[in-house]
Amino acid sequence: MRKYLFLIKTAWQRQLVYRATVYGYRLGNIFDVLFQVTIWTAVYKSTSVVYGYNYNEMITYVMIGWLINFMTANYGIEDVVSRNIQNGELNVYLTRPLSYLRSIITMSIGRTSIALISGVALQLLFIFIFQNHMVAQTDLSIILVIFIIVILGYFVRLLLSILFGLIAFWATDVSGLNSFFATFIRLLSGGYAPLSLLPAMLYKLSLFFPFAYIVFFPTQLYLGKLDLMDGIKGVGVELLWLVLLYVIIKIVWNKGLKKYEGVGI
Amino acid sequence: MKKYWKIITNEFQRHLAYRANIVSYSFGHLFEIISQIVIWTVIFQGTSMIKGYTYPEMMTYVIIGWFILFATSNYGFEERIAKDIHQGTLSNMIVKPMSYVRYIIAVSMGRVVIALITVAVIETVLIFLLRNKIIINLDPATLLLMLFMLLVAFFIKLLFSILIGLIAFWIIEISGTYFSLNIFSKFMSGAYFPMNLLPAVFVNISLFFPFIYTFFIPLQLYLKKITLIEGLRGLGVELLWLFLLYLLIKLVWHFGLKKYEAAGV
Repeated sequence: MRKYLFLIKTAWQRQLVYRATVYGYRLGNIFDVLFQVTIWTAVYKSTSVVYGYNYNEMITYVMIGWLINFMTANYGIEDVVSRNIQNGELNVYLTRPLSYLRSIITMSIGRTSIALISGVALQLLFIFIFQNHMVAQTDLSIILVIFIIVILGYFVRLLLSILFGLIAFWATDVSGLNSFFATFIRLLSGGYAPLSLLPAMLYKLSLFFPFAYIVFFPTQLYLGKLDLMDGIKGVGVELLWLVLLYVIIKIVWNKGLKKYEGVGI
Repeated sequence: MKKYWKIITNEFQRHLAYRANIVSYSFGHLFEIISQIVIWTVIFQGTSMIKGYTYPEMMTYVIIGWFILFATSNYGFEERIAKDIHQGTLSNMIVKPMSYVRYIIAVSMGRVVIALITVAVIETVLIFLLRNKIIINLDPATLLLMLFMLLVAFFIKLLFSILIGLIAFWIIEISGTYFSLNIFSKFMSGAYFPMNLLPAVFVNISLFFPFIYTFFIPLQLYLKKITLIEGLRGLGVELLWLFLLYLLIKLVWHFGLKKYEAAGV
């Protein structure tokens, strides 16, 4: 256990070096949130309900959605994994008495902490400012379930990133692919707009994938559009996906290692 | 002139190696546009006009805008310049009988060709698929003027990227700064949503910045919301900005070079 704690601490200290960069990114996020609020405000001037969402619900969706996005983001672990493979840094990990997958999972917890804290702080400030335009959720059991879903969501996103990163065993230039996946996941997780805006069939389909449970599902719970039972079911689906993703990663890892060229040895 | 042509063709050939990568970036961007199409389609089911935009107009704004955005993009040249400065690659350039800024401009022209072709193909397919939902404007004078505006827009955005890339002379860790500046300039250009969604004062302010002429104004021209004369005036402002940015770059370059540490020499 101690070795993992050490990994987390090292990654955390490394991130402290880049704190100015983190603030730079946050500034961009402020614009992002404000744009979404602007668009929806303009839209609701000419209509009062968009697909069952009134203005306050939509603002809540944006605010809580971003909060959850900040809590589950891993800021491009797929790039770290693919770089490790392509630059041969993986060699170092392979000789350690510690599995690479576990090191990278641990490392990412330390790596995201500063960004997570600053992101959540920023978003709480936004929520404070916009509280009069938002829907409040006070049911403690619902909030507990949301919290569990968000924590699981962090790991679902992390495992997805690692899985995408492992493609680097086979392809040399993956940055385009990674950007493609990032947009794809953001769309299917409801990061651009509520998934219920999609045609009913696509919406139902999206609930079979793990992405919807990252942002869309917990936000719906918060808005009271899903009840406690749905939430618990959601936790189940997420757990199932975590196991499945872990198994897939193991298989891909084993196959990939055979292809691994160990650049730099 | 011949040496610059050589740089352009070299860079084009270099990027042929990354063609799969470039194509996957474009497909990632495709998801963004799909989500926008879905969102606006849903919104317009409850209303027929949003701030003076009808459904076909908004769809046109999104679809044609997508092409304009990527046709004028240089895909992050500020990072390239920062890397040259930080890693000392700039030292090689300074001793060559060729200005670095002009070299970078030539490189960028060779670099964008493949991305431009990919985007043009995707755009053609999109326009064909959605031809009944968007406004087709085939007025040759309008299209010609737009073409000129986009050409100048490419260079305005490039010079802006170079300008903020040169910040690397003074600052080490800049990716966060770039991220925020890019979001800001994209917003000021109207690429997130039509500027008219904002209060009129914002539009008036943004007319004093170069960004709005790289996206919003050419689109207004296409949508016939402004006249050819106004479009011509926009082109004039663009050329003025181009000149101004070039002067600014010369100035910043002059001062930056004094700070330059030539890492690795």
